[in-house]
Amino acid sequence: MASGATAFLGSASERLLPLSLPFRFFAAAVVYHMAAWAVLALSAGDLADYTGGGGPVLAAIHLLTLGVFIMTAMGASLQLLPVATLQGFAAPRLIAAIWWLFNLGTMILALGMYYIWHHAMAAGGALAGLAILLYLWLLLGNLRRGGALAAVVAHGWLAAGALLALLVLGLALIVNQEHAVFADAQRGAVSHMLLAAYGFMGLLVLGFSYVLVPMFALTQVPGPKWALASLIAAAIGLGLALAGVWFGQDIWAAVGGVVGLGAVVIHLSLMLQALRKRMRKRLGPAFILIRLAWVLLPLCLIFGIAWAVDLLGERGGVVFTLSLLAWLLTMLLAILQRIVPFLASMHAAIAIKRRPPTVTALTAQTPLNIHMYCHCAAVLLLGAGVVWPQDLIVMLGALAGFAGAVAFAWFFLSAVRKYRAALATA
Amino acid sequence: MYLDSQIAQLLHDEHQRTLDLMNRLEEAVTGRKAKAAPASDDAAAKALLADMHAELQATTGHHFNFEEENIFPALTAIGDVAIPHILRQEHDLLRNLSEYLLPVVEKARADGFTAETWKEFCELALELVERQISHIQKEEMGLLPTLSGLFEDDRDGELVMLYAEAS
Repeated sequence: MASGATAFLGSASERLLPLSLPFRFFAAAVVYHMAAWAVLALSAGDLADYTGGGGPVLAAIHLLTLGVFIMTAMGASLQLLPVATLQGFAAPRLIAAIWWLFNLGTMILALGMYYIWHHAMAAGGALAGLAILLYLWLLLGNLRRGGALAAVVAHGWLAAGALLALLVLGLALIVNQEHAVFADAQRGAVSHMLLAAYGFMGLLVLGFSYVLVPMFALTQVPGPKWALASLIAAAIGLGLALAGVWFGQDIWAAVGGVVGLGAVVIHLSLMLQALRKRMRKRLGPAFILIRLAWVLLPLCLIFGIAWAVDLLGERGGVVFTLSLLAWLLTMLLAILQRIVPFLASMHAAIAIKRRPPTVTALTAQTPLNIHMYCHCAAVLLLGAGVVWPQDLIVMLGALAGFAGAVAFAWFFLSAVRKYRAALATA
Repeated sequence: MYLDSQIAQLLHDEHQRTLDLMNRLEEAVTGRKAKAAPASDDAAAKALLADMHAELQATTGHHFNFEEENIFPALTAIGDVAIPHILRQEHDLLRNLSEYLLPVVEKARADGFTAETWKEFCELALELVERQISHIQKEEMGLLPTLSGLFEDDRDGELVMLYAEAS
């Protein structure tokens, strides 16, 4: 095993935040997940021909990106990063304040986007932006003190840089609606999306995968050399793609995508190699989603490259965006369904000395199975509905996604209830 | 898997052996096959019960005792208190669970399973699988890598001998 993995699990219980802190972020993500699909179902007719700008589609995208992705990333990183870096956060009140601010900001921003109210967008963006800055302050403070897992920490640094850049661009895009900031707002919006999806979320997902996947599968943590090589390629690819978008050089963007594909090939090779050497035979249903995410990751890059060189036609942007969101959502929900009962069981083990509940005892498998089928159906139907294009298919996809989100909420509530019941009977 | 320390490698090999048994056990008590109790002349079930009996009776206990007597004190001496504390707590849980399971396995070896004893066995076996895997997960990620460089070569060799003698 890499030396950095040494104390990951050993120190985990020492650096656990109170369960209510990460869980409030996860609970909010679960609610925004349902809201995002509901809004998409209401605006199914607008999706296939969406080319940007305010309205329900933009609101649905931000309910997903801010409400689900960044909310989950905040909750997970605030818990997992101190364990990876062996540093404590010790700022529970600030973390709680970040949650309130970010929730309020996301809700107001999404409402503003839905109804195209500029002032609501500005107010929501400012509140969410303030929460992100406070989160970044915590994150950077933790990363600055170094860490045992070099590859995870390096991914964290670049992800933090991307988060700051996407925040600045996002706020500028809101201002741009009333006061021209960009010569071409579309290029600003695409840059904002690339920074959010590949820069912040993507790098965090890749970085934490080097710890979480080996932990779940009981296998070796990949060596930092190749993980860092993947990170460098990803950073170069993203830089090229951003420069290409910004300066209107589509070929640079395509080359950036190809370099990004190289980074993904290294990353996935490391993951598959780790899985081949695993000691745990049964990986569990979450790995079906993880494997689906591993298929969607290169696929979205291929769509991005094809869009950049104009091979996807007029709906190329929507196809690329959907595949990008599908990759991140699939991966995050797979990770979330493993870490929710895992964290609850670790807290239970501290509180209950005699036979604390196991991870399986805290996991309701039926709703997770329902979620998996609905999620896969939603991804397929949305893809078909956009390519075809058929509003009814998009609507059915969004409804399948909503049903899956409800099932996921059932799983989450069930884990919380079982955890509380175990504490009550201890 | 490559580990610098001989004793870490030995403990890792023991983990691998235990995991193989846990994987077999999980396979036997989940899925369609597990809906009905195996017949009393089922060779695979008999072999599994024999291996489980050995595991519950001695092997794991030996592994746990060895770590508690020889490895954890060395870690505590260099100031690492958290890992030994968590692992010791899990050892106690697993010992406790083994005490529940051992008579069930002994009775099954002697008389076979009824629908009722099979159900009880499956529940306890699944709990054992999960707690063992979770425990081995912690030892593989949190304990074994710390053993590289913890012991001088001579002491490392002595520990391997000690482990073998007590087996």
